[in-house]
Amino acid sequence: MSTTPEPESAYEVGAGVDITKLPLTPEEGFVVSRILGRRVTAADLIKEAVVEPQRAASVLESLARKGAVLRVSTGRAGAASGPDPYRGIVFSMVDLSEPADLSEEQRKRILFVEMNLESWSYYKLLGSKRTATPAEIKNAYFKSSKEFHPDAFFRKNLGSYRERLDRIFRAMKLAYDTLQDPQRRATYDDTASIELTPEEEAELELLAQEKRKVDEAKRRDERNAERMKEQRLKRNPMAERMRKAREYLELADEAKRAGKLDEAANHARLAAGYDEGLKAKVDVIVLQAERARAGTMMKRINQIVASPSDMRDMADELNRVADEVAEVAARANDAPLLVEVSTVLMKLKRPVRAAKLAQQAAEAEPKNPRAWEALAEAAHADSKWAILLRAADRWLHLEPANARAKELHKVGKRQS
Amino acid sequence: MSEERVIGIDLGTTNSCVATVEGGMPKVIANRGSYKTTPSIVAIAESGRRLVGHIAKRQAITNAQNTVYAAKRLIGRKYAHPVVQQARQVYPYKIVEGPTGDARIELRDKVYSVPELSAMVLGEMKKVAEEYFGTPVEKAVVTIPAYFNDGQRQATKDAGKIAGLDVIRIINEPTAAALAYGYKKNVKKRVAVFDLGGGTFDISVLDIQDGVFEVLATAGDTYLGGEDFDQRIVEWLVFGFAKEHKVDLRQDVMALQRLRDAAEKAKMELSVTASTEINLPFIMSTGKSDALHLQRTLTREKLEEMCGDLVERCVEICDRMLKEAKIRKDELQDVILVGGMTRMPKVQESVRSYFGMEPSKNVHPDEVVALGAAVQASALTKTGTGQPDLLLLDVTPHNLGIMIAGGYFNTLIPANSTVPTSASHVFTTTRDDQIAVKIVVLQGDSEIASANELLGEFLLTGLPRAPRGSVEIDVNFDISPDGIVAVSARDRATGAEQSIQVTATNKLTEEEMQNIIKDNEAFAVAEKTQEAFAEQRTNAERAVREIERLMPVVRDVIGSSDFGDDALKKAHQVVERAKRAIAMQDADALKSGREQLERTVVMFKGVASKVGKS
Repeated sequence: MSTTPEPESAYEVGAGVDITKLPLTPEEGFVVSRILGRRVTAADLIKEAVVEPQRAASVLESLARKGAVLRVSTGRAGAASGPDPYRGIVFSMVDLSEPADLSEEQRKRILFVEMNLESWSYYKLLGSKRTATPAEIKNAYFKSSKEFHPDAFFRKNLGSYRERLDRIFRAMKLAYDTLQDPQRRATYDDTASIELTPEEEAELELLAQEKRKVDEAKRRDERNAERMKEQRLKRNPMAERMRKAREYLELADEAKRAGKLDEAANHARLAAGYDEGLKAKVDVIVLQAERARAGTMMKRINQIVASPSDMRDMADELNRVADEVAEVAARANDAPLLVEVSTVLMKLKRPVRAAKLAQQAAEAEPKNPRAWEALAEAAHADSKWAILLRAADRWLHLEPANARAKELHKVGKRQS
Repeated sequence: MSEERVIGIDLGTTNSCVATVEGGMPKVIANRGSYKTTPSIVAIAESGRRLVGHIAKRQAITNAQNTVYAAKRLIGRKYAHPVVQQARQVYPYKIVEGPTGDARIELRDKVYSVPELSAMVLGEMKKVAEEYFGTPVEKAVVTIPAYFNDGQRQATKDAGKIAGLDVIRIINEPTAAALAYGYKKNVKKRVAVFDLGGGTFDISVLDIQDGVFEVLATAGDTYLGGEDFDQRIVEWLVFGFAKEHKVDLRQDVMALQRLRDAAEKAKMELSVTASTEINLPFIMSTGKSDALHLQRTLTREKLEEMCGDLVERCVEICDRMLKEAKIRKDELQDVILVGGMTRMPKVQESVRSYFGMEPSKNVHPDEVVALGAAVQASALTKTGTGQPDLLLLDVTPHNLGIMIAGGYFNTLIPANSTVPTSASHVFTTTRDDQIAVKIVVLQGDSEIASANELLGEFLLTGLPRAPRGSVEIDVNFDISPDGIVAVSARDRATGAEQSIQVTATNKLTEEEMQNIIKDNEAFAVAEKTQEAFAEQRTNAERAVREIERLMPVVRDVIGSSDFGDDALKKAHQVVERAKRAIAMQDADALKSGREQLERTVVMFKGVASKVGKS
């Protein structure tokens, strides 16, 4: 007797059973009180420690024999047999627990039909379909009547369900009366929207599926097109170069932000090599790097120039570096740097080149006296008197008290 | 702990029968004399003892004035009713007018109401059953002619109550017969039940299928039965005797009773033989020493000639009912004969030729009604929560309605509506400052109120003073599965409510009724059509918007299929109609179109949700 009942058996207290009137042992009474109002299996009761595992079978057996509980196959209940017809519906606990001689299933069914009285067509209300023959409609009505006619609940305590059943049966009668009369049915069919028949429902499902497929195909096509475009770009060498160029430019920006200007310039140059279109951006970066470098070189030049012996020894290197800086200064159109290089070139006895740089500096910053000074000195050394005169004139104009300016102005005036 | 005993009683005009269901089969319970039927006769003996059944029948001749038979023909009737007046001429007992205008019977200086007398018969049947079971019996189903009106049903129920029975249901005799005919036989047929009993004639057509008995239509005559055939024979005998002896036998109560018995016997004999001898010696003493004897031969042919019109009336009622119910004779698969009178060859022949088929011989015409009542009693009291294996869908035989202004009859529940049923209607006042309405409830087929049977009236008072037409009164009618009517009326504004159970004691004389109808002009009500238009319009507009919003989606999905095309077209029409109704301020059209709108919305939403676009 210690075997637990087969797992598919569930128990509930039958409707209308007054457990207080049954000859139950205290243990049975306790178990029943735990079953009341729900449907449980022996396993549930054991799990909840309502009854000891070895006693479960015999206690439930005895309760069933005394009529206190009903053994119901859980297979029969909604959950296991197909989808729950009331899925998504929340029934009021007040309605479900109201004292009435009805099973929970009956209550749910009544509440469910009642809440749909307005929205269901006559066909659906009777559990029939639009294409049903008169005989089928009669069948459906008879079946519904057996379920909802007041006589099916003769002299039972129904509480609020009496009125609900009354409403339902009245609606069913009206539905039947209408559908049974060919003329009234035709009028109804012509005017009312009626739920689809199962066949139509299937067709609708098919149509909806097709529609979903079409929609999905459209979306898929769109996604594909985008992917194809990307792939096309990938296969195109130009595009690949441009992509690389962008990558290098990014690296350059990164390096620049890190203060590594030379590295930035290198990346930038590579970028420009892949994509001509980036030249302007690249030039900015490169120039910035070159300026920085020129600044360093200028320092070195000034060191060398400070000592005449060094200047002599390293004349070649000095000339090369000066040229390099001059080039950067010219490209950057940097007046102070141009003036500085121009001054160095004068010291290296290259007045022609010095004049050229000074000229650029003066054009870049016409109000900078140092530019005009450099130009005047270079023109003087190169004996370009007209230029000397004009430069000295501008210099004097900016620094009227400068003695060297006055002197050179005089020389210029005299020579021209 | 045995199952509770329930019985079915066929309370007949001439004979009654009781049955029960045992071991799943209905069975007639025989009385102490081992007769399966008991005469519906009640008598008060000289000693004051009540006699019921065979014992009452046996002493009828010597105690004719205090012996009541055919009480069923008087139950629930007003004294002034022509039928009662006719009965006064024919029956030896004294019919008097009761305090509420109902017909009552005076026996040995005591006045009995008809339900009291019927109760004695019911009590006798109860006793028969109790003796058989050896235990008390309370619950019973009692049968009545299908064409009985509310008053007659109510009075029969009262009779049961007086007899100490819990009448759990009153059912119609032809329906009961069909129940017995189809019970547990897995019948799937459309049948006609031709029920010609002692006092009444009923014809019903039913569909029987899967244990459901659906009455499609019923008609009848509550004053057409074997008694009338007997009466014809009695008259024939009386006139023949008068011609011969210049004596009217009807003056002699005892002679009349003997004639009556002889007529019934002769009629029954002629169902099996071609002619019969009626022999009543010493029928009357002339006062001199010699006595008069009655001796005549009645042939079947003569009987058929005398009663041909009665049979003809039955056929006419059948014909009218089938036409009204739009049932073709060839749709009927069987005709069941019920009631003792259907043993008459002429009746059988008329049925055969009218319906074009041989009537069913499967049921016992005297017992089948009681058996059916027992079947219904057993089905109703069946315990357990499962669905019933037998269900009766019966109808109300008469139009039910109220009198409205002008003395017209406004039908609220038409005849042949399945019971239980209810109907409510809004009426309004017809005069300014009208503070009371009288609701006059009627049953019948005429458009003129006074031509119908008055069930009762009640006054709804305390209405607010207001211009006519502005006070609304809800009148609600309810017909129970017994066919009994309850009416309530409520003033919509104040909620003041009055309800009446239309009862037999509410009976009024014809004259009183005419007076009521005249007086009532002041209290008359009119039909109310005005409705809360605004709310309906709002709802309709919302539905229309919803439908129009979903229309493209739905068209996209189902537009290409036949049913989809149809549905869209219909939806379009529904919307158009609603719009038109809104534009025209047509409350009725809006109301009738509401359901369609709602359903269209539901359907559209359903379709849209399938493609995820709700």
